[in-house]
Amino acid sequence: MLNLSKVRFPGKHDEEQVLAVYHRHWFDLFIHLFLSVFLSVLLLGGFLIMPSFFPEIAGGPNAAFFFFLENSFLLFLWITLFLIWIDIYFDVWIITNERIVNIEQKDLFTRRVSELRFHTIQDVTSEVSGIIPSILDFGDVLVQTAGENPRFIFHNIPNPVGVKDLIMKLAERRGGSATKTQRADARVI
Amino acid sequence: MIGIINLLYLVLIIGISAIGLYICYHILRYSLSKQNAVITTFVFATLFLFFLFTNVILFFRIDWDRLLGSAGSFTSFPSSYSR
Repeated sequence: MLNLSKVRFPGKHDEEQVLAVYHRHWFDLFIHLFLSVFLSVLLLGGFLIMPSFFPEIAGGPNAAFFFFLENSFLLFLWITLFLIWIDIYFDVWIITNERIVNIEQKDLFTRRVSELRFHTIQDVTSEVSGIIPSILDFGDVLVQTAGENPRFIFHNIPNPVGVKDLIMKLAERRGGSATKTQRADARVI
Repeated sequence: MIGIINLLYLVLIIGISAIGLYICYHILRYSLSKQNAVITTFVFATLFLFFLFTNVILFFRIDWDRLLGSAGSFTSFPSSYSR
């Protein structure tokens, strides 16, 4: 469990309080990791089964080469798993008492940080689409703003309706344009 | 031939080590929590180093002369076919 008081991110002000931190839903990570996990199961299966069918591979003079290939595959798999994990897990949305910060990890060398002040928020929409997102309760939250970056999107986060309500509440408190009518509409959705 | 294989392997190992180091740096630098960063880096680095060292050990245990020789005999026709 993440201790919100100890959360650190680039550009955090001294008196800024982190209210919530959102990562992508675990199912999103699972989908991206599926191929690598599937390959690792195949590798493990091959590693256990192949020597019984072809004993000369694992027991003969080429055994070192066989184990070298297996080990290389495991090494690449381990690196790939972490590269995918970094790509997904390091996409993060932070809601503080002052603003919303979106840190987006494009790849290992590309990272985008954008922020949104509550007073620029015009409306907030949550969107859950599909069977699995409905069952597991994850989806997108779209924040419409008056700024240069007109839409601020939280991708595949858990409990999108709760997040939308939190943003609406904070926007109203900070004097955003989101009206009570829009809030009522959002609740109907 | 073995010299070329060793050279290519050296380049590969340097590249993989650089990626491993960059992943550790990335986790430590950009994690939201320092505690999580240390734990995750430890998990990654432990298995990464284990795989890397065993990979190097296994590479140097391979009898390349024999392996390349046997691969050559697979690709050439058996002597009975040349009659």
